Amino acid sequence: MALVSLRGATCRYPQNKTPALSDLSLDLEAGEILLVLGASGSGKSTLCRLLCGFFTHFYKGACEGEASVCGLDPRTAPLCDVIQRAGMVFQRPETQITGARFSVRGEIACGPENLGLPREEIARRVDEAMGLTRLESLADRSPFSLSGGEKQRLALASILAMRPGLLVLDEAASQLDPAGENDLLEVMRTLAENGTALVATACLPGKAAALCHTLLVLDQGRPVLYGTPREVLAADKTRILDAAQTARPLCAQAAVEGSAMGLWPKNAPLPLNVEEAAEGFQAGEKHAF
Amino acid sequence: MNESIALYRERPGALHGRNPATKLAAALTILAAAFLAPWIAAPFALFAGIIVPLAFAGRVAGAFLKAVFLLYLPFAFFLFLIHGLFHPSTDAALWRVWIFSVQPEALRFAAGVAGRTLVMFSVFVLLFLTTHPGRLMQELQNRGVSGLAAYVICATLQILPLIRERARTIQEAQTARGFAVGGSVLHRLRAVLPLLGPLFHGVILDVEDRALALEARAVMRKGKRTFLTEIPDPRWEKIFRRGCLAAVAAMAVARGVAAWPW
Repeated sequence: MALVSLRGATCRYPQNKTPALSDLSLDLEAGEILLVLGASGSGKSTLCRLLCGFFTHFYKGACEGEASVCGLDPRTAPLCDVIQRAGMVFQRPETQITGARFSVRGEIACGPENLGLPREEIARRVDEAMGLTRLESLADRSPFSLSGGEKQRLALASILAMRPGLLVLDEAASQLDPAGENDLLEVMRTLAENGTALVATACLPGKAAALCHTLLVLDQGRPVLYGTPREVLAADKTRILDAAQTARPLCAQAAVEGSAMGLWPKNAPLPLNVEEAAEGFQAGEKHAF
Repeated sequence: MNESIALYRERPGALHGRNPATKLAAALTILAAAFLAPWIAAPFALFAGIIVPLAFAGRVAGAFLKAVFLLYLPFAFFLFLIHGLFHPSTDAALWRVWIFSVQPEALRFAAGVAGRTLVMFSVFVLLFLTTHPGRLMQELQNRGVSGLAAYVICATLQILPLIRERARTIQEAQTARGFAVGGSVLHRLRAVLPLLGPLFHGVILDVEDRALALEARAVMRKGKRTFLTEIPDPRWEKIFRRGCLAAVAAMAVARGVAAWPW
């Protein structure tokens, strides 16, 4: 069975007849990255909350269908058990600092401390999380003195120190500068290589499209596209992507436009990064002349 | 960037390095003395003779006195105004005009309440000026207070600076759109009204996000916790805390004996 599995998941918030998520099915294995795209209100955050147990435990929502995350049903399993398996990083870095510790190191240790782990294990996890997120030089700084990007890295490190099998990033890059986004993508790549499953949400795919294994597009709570990035972002999906108010990465969009002008080889897969786009356009140029 | 954490001020003062439990015990003992002492002047003597010197020793006297004067003095003024003029005392009035009268018994009552509230307010201001909320929370959790209760205390301590920070951001945005926020007192009061809606809406959203972030860190988990860093608790501080407990017990007994109808 997959690490994360949803079958016909339909979620409603209390006192809301319209489902926030409708008939969603997906599978995610260890080491895989799922990128969820959609406009605001499309159900991305609801999916994140469902996977981490918050939807039923915190928001008191109702969810039909089947759900399994790291061997637990996040709707019925105790929240403390779910969050140890599925960690979530939120959009706004400021609100993720507990303020309960006086240094970056202490803030990262907060989660493992609450799990009652031995002190040596906490120290090991904190060092590892700081290394992954490149926070070593800030270890003794007050969390409140960090910049927005540094705070987001701190929030990520705090969750990584709990060693979840599934990491959920709910628009975690939306307030980061390009360098911060690149750092986050690099961490995602490393985590996936080490066997962590990742679910990341965004309004637009950006550079994450080249990194993810699977892409899911949501439109008003309904899954409208699900597959590999090349399948989902293919030229014939333009209408569906437009309806869902999302878009291809710039390089893929350039290839779609270039194809119509004969600059991109017919039937060639769409590029997901700049390197692939450069190669494709070179090939298209040779073909044209 | 918001570097302030609640009232806390990082200083190399004599109080900062002490165990939070010791400071809490001392604060509660001074408070008990203010409430149990039979003399009206006792709380004022405690304030001037113990609390203010401690604020100087902790190198937070400036922030301490500012907080006390800004927050306590208006309260004391209204306390004396209300009790001084409207207390239903039957004493002979020192001064009387129309329905207003000033009586010695009313003034004594107001002074008693004012002294005790001064001590209560000032010991906790001093405690929070010299104790990092995180350190206090860790110590409370170490001593068996539930994670939820400890976080409620911490969140309460941090809410004011966070509201102040958010209010400043909203006010900057309003100023950028040509909204006048300065000028006379009346102008400033008018400028506060449009601030309230976005401020409270934002604070409520913050609370939801913060609660989720705390849940994600297993704050609500029941069971034993371990801590990465240890807060020093030297032997003399343990003895001092026992001394505080004994002092409170002795004061309570002495007050009880004095009040006993022999």
